[in-house]
Amino acid sequence: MSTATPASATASAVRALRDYAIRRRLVGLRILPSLAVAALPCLVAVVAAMVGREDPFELYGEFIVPLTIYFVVPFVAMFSVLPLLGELYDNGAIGYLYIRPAPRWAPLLGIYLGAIIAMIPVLIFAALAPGLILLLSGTEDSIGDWATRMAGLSGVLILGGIAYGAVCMFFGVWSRRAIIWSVFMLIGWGVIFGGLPGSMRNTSPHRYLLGLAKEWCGVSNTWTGMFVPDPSPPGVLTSILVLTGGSIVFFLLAARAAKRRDVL
Amino acid sequence: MSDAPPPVPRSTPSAGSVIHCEGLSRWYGEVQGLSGLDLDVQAGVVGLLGPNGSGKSTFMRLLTGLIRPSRGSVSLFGQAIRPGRQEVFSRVGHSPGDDVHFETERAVDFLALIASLGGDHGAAAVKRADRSLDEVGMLDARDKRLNSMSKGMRQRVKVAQALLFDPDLLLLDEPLNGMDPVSRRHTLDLVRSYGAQGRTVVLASHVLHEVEAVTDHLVLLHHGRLLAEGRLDEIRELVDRKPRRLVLNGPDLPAVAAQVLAEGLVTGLSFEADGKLALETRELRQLLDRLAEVGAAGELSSLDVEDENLEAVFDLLVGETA
Repeated sequence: MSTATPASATASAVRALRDYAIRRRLVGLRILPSLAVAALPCLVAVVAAMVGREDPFELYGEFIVPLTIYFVVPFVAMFSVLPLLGELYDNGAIGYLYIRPAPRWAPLLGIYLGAIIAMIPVLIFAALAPGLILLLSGTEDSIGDWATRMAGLSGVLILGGIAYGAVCMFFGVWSRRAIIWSVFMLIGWGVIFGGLPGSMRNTSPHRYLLGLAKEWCGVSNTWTGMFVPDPSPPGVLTSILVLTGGSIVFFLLAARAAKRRDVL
Repeated sequence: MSDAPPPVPRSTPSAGSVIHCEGLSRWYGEVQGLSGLDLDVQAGVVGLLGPNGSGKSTFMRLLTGLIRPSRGSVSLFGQAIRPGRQEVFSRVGHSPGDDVHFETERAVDFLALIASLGGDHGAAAVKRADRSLDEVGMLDARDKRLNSMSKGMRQRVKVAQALLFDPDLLLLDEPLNGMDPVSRRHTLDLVRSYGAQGRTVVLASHVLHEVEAVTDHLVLLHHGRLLAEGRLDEIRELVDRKPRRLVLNGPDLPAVAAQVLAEGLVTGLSFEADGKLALETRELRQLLDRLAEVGAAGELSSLDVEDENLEAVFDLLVGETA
């Protein structure tokens, strides 16, 4: 019989599932879908470098930054989180994790943390690689300006990954149709509502990611060329609070769903 | 069953109750998985018997909180199983009926992962995993990936993960499926040993002789309902009140048929295609005595009592409710 205290079992479960998730998503071929999505801005950068009509620094700020926020973050979050939960829930393997003294949220937190850690190098790649391509194509801006912009974008993408990862955690635990719900929410609610004027925009994480992008990357989110400009983007503190708060809320919803969903 | 415990009232758990269910029911939409199960299980080995779809796995999932009851309640060691109450599972080991699934993991990594959910980590988890693999005779295969193992080996790994924390309650859902004879014997020995230590083992199976080998305490499920519960000989008593089938052969079977019919000892009678006489009776002992006299007179050359083994006992009980 186990003599472990619930606290030690909980901490141990979080660590073990974090490591498991990293192993499952970061090592081997499973990282390829995320990398493929993250490589798309590189293609844009290569084309732009070949054509060479735009200022590379401006192109990075006004096209690569919104492209990564609108497109890369949601898909990398989905590719990192949903397969982990899908493979555990679809065949009932999650039962091995739930019939233990650790509370159900503990392995889920481990999976979430592992998925985020697995996302980070991919998101940094999505921020750095196109920047380096454009930088090498010839630029008048200083390396320091480029480094600031690329580091800022990396931070924005990681925060986006944390927020959208939590949304995917909830849907992955709550529903067998997690992929449909996630696409609907991340693209519909995130990208579409986040890019259109109206009160719904305030509820979209994209608005806050673009708010951070404006401050950290020195990019005005009033020109994206893709969606209607936001006349009053949120500040850094508001954005961080909303994104971290939203992540916590969605993770708590996932933990609640774990108690209620049958494992068949 | 001379040493069987007296029947227990179903409304409250008896002293020392390990598993207690009251009106436990579960539906999957329109499909009934388990219906109104009242059960009180004490320490020892219990055989949970039923054909596929009888509700065994549903019962196991309800016991482990993986699914919630549609109605009724279940408790382990006096603690109600409810979402979010995980403490009781420190005393439970469960080997599910499904395959092991963590396909790309090595056996030792899989067990260490599960061990970590009980509070071990790192080297301690690996040590516990190795000990458990050794217990099922799989230590040599510790570094093999699960997807490169035979089904029987994966079954043993599943049993090993159930044994990780020396559980007081061991739930084994069809653990012998796919195992070779040596592994089966080893696993059955393990079950016996756990039962002898005063722990509780619930062994679910649809193969009766597997269960018969380790216990005579049976719970029979069929179509999600409790068909019978008790010791094997108790169930045999139930069976003795049901028609049993005998097949006779001899030189003058019509005369034998006329005799037993006239004496009211049979409930059914027919001639088989090969000319043998088949009888159904609720008075097996008296009929056998009478037939022994007939046989002594040379009118019978063979007599086979069907339904004599445990398999037939089960078939009879199932047949009555079907």
